[in-house]
Amino acid sequence: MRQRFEQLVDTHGARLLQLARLILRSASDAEDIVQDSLIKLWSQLPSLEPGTEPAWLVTCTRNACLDRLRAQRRQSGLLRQMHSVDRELARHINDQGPAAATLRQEQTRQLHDAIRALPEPARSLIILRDIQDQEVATVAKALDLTPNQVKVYTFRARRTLRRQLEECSHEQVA
Amino acid sequence: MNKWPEQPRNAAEHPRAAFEDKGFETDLAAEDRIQSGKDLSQDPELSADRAFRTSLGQVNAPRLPNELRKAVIDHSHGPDRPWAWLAMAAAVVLSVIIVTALDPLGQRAPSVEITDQDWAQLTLAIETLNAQGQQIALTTKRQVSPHLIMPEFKMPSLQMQLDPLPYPDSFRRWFQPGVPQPR
Repeated sequence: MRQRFEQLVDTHGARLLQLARLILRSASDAEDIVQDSLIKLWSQLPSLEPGTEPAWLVTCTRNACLDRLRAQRRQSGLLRQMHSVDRELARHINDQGPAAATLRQEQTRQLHDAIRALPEPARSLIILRDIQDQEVATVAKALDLTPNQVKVYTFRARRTLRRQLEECSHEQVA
Repeated sequence: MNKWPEQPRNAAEHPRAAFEDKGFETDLAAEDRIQSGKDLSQDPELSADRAFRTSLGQVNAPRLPNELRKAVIDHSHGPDRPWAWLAMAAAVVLSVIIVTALDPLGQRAPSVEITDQDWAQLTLAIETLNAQGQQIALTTKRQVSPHLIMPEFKMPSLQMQLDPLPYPDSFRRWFQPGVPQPR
């Protein structure tokens, strides 16, 4: 069982971390949640049917991230202050010139921010389906949707995200 | 049976029962076209969607930090030693109980009169040992429990509570043969 567990950690650990990082702003929060999810997987592994682990992991990690987000929203005042500090920091870094903050990094940051701003389940669908290319069936099980809902909501989320980024890009050019 | 994590209760995050609107079928067909890449040349919006999907697929996943991986794997190799401590503690308690129970057998002397005061002292000694034994067991459990997180074993279901020992009445007949055996 340990071998199976280690294989799951190596196969899905990085994807889970990506999911958590794209939902949460804090990298350390994301790592904490992934660690907890993998430890929970170890305790649940004997009762999980083989093949269902990826969906179980996604559900567990996503739920924990959403819980963390809700807790953060309760401290919204503090969060606003932190975002303000983040923006100041980003502006400071950008002021140091193109060597410090490349255009590519800026685009990546914009993309991550836009993904984080999406409502659920659009955000999770973009991450799981488009970024991680996970199977429709796995995503449907993890998000408690039908396979067709996964497809349609992903389509709508992607289009919304694309248009937001295009608008953002046009504003910058203007 | 699978223990699946609970889904979010928030209706906005749980849209399975949501009304599948009029455009649902159209969007489903569009998504299938994006996925297959067929018949896109005549629809610039769908072409842009597909290109955007391709660019999203190029976002690299971060590496799982070694410390995190090690912590998780170490957890799965869980500490087995606390079992030994628990077994030792149980053995000590059991030894005290057995010695206490059996030792008077060798000193059994029907001719010796046991006064009520002797009996009261003996009862007190047994109860003290019993209480101390339970205290040792509980202390050991408290100290060992945090290290006993194992998937196959649910710590809360572990019953360390010892039944009250039946010595006073059970063994009284060894000291006072005239006393009727307790029920």
